[in-house]
Amino acid sequence: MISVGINRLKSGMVLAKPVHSLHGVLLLDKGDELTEKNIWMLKSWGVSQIWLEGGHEEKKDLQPENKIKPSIREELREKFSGVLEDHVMAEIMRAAGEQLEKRLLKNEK
Amino acid sequence: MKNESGIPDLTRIVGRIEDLPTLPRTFLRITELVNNPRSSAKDLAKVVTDDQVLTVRLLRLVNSSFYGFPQKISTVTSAIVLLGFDAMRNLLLTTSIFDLFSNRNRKGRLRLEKLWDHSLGCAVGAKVIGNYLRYDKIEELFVSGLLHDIGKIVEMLFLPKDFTKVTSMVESRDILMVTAENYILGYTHADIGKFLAEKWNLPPKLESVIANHHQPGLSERFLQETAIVHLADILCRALNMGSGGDRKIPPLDREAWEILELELSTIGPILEEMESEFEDVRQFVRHSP
Repeated sequence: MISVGINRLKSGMVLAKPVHSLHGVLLLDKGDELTEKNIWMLKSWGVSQIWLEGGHEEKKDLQPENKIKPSIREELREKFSGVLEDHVMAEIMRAAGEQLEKRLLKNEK
Repeated sequence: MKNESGIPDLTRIVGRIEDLPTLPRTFLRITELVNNPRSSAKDLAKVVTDDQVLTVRLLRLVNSSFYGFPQKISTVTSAIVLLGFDAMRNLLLTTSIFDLFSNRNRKGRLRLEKLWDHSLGCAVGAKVIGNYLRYDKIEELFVSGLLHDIGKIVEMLFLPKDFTKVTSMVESRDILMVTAENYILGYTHADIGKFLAEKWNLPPKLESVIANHHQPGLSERFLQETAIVHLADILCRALNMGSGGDRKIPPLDREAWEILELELSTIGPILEEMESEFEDVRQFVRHSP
């Protein structure tokens, strides 16, 4: 089971837990399959995170291969030195590396 | 970090800063109108249109992707109706702060520009995190992010000697500015910011964020807002958006992270959104007249 942000949902994914609105109304149940229409519905209810079954193909989507340039990685490590024992900070560093890499590629173009 | 008997230090700062910057008169007039339940969008529009610079900035903002309205908005009144009064006041605060940043002498200009970008990055971060948490006053978060380091500007412009000592220690030891300030001065930019916020009569929420963004746990009433800006500060540094005057990343406060109740998997998407919004917001403020 994995937790996925609303913007990464695709039709065909299967819910691992029921989804409720802020006020507790049941929107979709465990085992329901997502469609374009109900993804839109979840967005309009302000749902931001949901739990999905499996996690193989989705997981790949969440954590793309770590192909960060050594220069970027070095700079990040220096910046983050001393705070990396915190797993949240480690995730921030990893995710920031991805963005910085993308930015670099974009600027090169 | 700071010892409990830090109060005398603040009076010392007060004594030394004689001509602290003031907020423009238009800001005070608009605050008055916003606080008066009987004022209308028309009243507000009149004050705004008297100020050409402000008019241009307002229209630029409502038409930027920050708000993402589908049609072009061309009149001040409709902009005010769409944004709401509070957002208007926040916009004005933003532009007044921008004027503070775009300061005079060449020497400190680069530093100021980097600090501005850092503040803007933090503002965008606070906004994006706020959206994830479905926080209802997004502009407030934006302004909080923008102002969180206001104390550094005051330090830079009004306490230049202290500031030089602090920055040279930051550079030689590669430490956080707040650490060097505590060591050399015995007070920090957060303390100065708090003082300024009081003097400017800023809303208590803003004051709390400015005062406690390094130790969100001290913020009693506005823990969530302070925690959001605390995290946004970390995220915008991770993305190299401008510079807060140092290169290290401050540690994440456990309590702050826990009260936000964010999933670890949201960090990636939050950073991605910050990255895509930053340049856009930067365009609209940078090129304002």
